Amino acid sequence: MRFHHRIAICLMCGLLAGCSEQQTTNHNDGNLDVELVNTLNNIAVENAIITQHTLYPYHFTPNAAELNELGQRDLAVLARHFAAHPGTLNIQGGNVSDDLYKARVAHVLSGLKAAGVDADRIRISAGMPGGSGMPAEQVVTFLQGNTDERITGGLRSTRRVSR
Amino acid sequence: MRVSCGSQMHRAGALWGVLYLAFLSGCISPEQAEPYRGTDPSAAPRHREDPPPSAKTLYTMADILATQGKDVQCEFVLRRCISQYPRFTPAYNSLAELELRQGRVHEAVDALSRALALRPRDPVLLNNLGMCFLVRREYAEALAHFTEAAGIVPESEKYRANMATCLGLLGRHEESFALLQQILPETQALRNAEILRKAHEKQADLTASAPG
Repeated sequence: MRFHHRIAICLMCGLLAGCSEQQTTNHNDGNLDVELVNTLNNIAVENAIITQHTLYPYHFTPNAAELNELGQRDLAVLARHFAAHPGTLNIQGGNVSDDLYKARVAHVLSGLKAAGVDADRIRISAGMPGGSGMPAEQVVTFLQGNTDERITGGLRSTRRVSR
Repeated sequence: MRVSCGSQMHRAGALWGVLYLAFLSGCISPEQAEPYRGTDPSAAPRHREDPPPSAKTLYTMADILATQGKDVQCEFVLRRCISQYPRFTPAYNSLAELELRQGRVHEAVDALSRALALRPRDPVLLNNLGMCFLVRREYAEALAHFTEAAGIVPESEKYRANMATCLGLLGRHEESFALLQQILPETQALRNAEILRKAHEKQADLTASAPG
């Protein structure tokens, strides 16, 4: 008789364990789906950020030189890219003053340095501050660590960013 | 030998039967077991009170009521949920959603602000508060909230799309288009940017033609 009891108890335990196992599996499947979608979105957005290689005014705290959280995250994506593939980083001025714009550039450069990017291999270009409606192609390029100032697109004026 | 085994089996069967009946009798509530048949309620036997419904139970009930279009009852349940479980933030979210649906934007902002005081870095709350400001045409404020939400969940296309909407309505078309390009194919990004540009122009015309 004890044998029958043992079988009954084992069956009951097996049934209960089976139920909890199923629940765990379903939950894990759901998490996996969410993570897959997030990863795909993340890759797509990161590719777009690298293609644009531009920091816009919305990346900065309003009326301040510091990057906001989104700006820091997007700069980290660009820094990873520039560490392996040096190139040009656009920093759009928007309607900010000249001094604030320079402070923003300096802040971004220090962020890139902190991320291990060789600043001498990165060029910073800028939209004209106060020039609303100006195409992004018409930018002045500043060569960091070089006395030469190169112009890309249509030249309006040349500024040297102090570091 | 056979007789002995059979009697043991009978005994075990009886034992299982008794255990089963005991289990079933445990399921019967005291009211069912001994119903009070008197007329004086104060004389009725006092039973242990049922525990209050959990936050999730109330929240699910409110969700069902909202689905059925019973907004008044839904609001009552959500407010009860908030008063009983003030740290359960999904209830604030649902309440704000209901209030926003009824055009009570200020109350929705109030509910979401209280929830954000509890969980300042909840991207859903931040996004929803941004939506309230968008409805109120306070685009700069809305942009700040969407940007914060996008900073917390950078892979979310929804928050970036909401940012693009705000930027477009603020007349910052280049930034708006850049964000749309990050989350949409080129043609769709162009189409959306054009819609936002027209909306901004229309709004500017309305503002210009408004008296005073």
